[in-house]
Amino acid sequence: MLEVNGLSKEFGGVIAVNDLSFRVVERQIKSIIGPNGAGKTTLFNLLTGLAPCTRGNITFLGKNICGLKPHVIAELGMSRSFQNVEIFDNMSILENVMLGRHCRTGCGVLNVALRRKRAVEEERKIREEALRQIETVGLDADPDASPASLPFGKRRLVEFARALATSPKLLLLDEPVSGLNIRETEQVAELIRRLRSSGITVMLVEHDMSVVMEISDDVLVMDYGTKIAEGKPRDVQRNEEVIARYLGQSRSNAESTKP
Amino acid sequence: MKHYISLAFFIVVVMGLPMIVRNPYYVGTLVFVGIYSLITISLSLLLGYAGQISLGHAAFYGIGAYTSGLLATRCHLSPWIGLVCAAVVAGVLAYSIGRPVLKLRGHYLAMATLGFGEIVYIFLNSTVELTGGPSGFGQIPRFAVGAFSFKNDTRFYYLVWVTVIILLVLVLNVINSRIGRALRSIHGSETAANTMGVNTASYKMQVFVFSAAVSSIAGAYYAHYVTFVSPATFDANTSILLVTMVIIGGMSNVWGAILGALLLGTLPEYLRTFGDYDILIYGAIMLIIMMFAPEGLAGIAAAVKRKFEGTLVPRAAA
Repeated sequence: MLEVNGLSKEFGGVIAVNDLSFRVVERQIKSIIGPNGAGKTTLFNLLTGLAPCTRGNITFLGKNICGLKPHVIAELGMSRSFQNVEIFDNMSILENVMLGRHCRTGCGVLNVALRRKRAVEEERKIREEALRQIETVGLDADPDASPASLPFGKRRLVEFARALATSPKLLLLDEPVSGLNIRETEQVAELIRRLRSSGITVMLVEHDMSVVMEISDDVLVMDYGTKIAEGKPRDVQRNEEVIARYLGQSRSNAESTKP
Repeated sequence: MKHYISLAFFIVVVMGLPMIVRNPYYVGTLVFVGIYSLITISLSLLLGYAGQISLGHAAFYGIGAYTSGLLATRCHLSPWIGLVCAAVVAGVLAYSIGRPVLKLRGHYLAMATLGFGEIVYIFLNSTVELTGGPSGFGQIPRFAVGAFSFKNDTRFYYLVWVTVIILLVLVLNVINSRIGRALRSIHGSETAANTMGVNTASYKMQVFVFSAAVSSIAGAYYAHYVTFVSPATFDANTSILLVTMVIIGGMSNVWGAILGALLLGTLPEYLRTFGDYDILIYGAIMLIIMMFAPEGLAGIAAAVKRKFEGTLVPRAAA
């Protein structure tokens, strides 16, 4: 489904991603973990076309997507959420999700300006699909309200619903449970599993190890832009280098915070 | 559906107004409000919806006036053909300057468009042979259909305001569609819009070209109404006035664009009684509106409506 080969990204002299290669198989949940600044979000930006890659190639559904514009990659079936939740506060919740349908609909300016039958019909379908996705993510809020007043957890659900409205084949989630409480975290983990069983492949960047180890089929560990380990959650957890560079560190942190 | 009620009301008011306002001078003022409204409606699409500022729209307004005016006086072309030519010239020009300029954001885009406006202004002033330079040129023919000439203010009033209504209907339809959402998403977060499949560069260009073409048509109306044009009408002050109309009216509301044009188009007439203090009061009114109603006149109207509905309909939740 997704194949990354020798991918590198340099910002000036800084190497954010260094000669990275990996594969994502269809209907897999693949997690990218690693310390802050390891290049995880940069990797997502490269995959979605927000940043051009310096070297290497990315093959998505058999097509080389390096150098393609983000909106073209979205059309191919890749969608994402952002670490800081980038939703449109100048639109209602429903309109946010409806925007996700943009790349799956095609009525032009003339059709919509003259309110041709086709445009009205399409608009109705967009609304239906958006409402369906709001239900899928379990967002309990007035769809016509502004998302600006929603608590953080619900804002994130709006973003998920919007991403799902694009009918993605591959969904990239950048820290989907950061800032959520335990109940919300469980809800999101459950949602990710449900999405996978509905046929969507999921990649996530996450620091919450309990979620990562629980739901992932495969884990990729990054540090300083390179891959230091890849494999089943169980194997990665036992990998000595991973413990030394990342997991061990977080465990000792956890212990030091205990009373 | 809701906006059709407002629209029907609006059409009735616009069509009925000349029967109440008999004084040709006031009808003339309303003609200018209509001309401004054409620009502010299209500008609100660019500024309020897509979030792209332009401080150079007076240039497109001027290009329209000069293109159509010159074609009519020098080449004796029908003003209707001139109108179409004006829209095409402004559209092509907007496309060519939009390519580099629309990559800029915020203040940089404002500066670049301001610079463009100045270039056009200087061009109109210095090409004396062609445009008459600073003193402009006159004797521009009026619009006519066969023997029917739009020669008096009331006739021209209907010509302009029917155009405003047509534009308004088209723009309202676009706003409440996938394309309207795409425009607003650019304003919200260009990065997110991009990754959700919106070709932001293309939409920014389309709306910029559209607003330039409409402003140019407004310019052509101006030329064939006043029958005289000079560069002073199309300077940076006018660009700023147009943006102010959009902001005072309520940035992300097309109705606000018309309200803004109405207020700032007629306010100087009301303030005339204050003599030399008119500018002072004009400034104070702007300040008060921006302080107490940052969402502009349309925001005030919406708040009043909400309050009104609240007193009529008992709240379901309670």
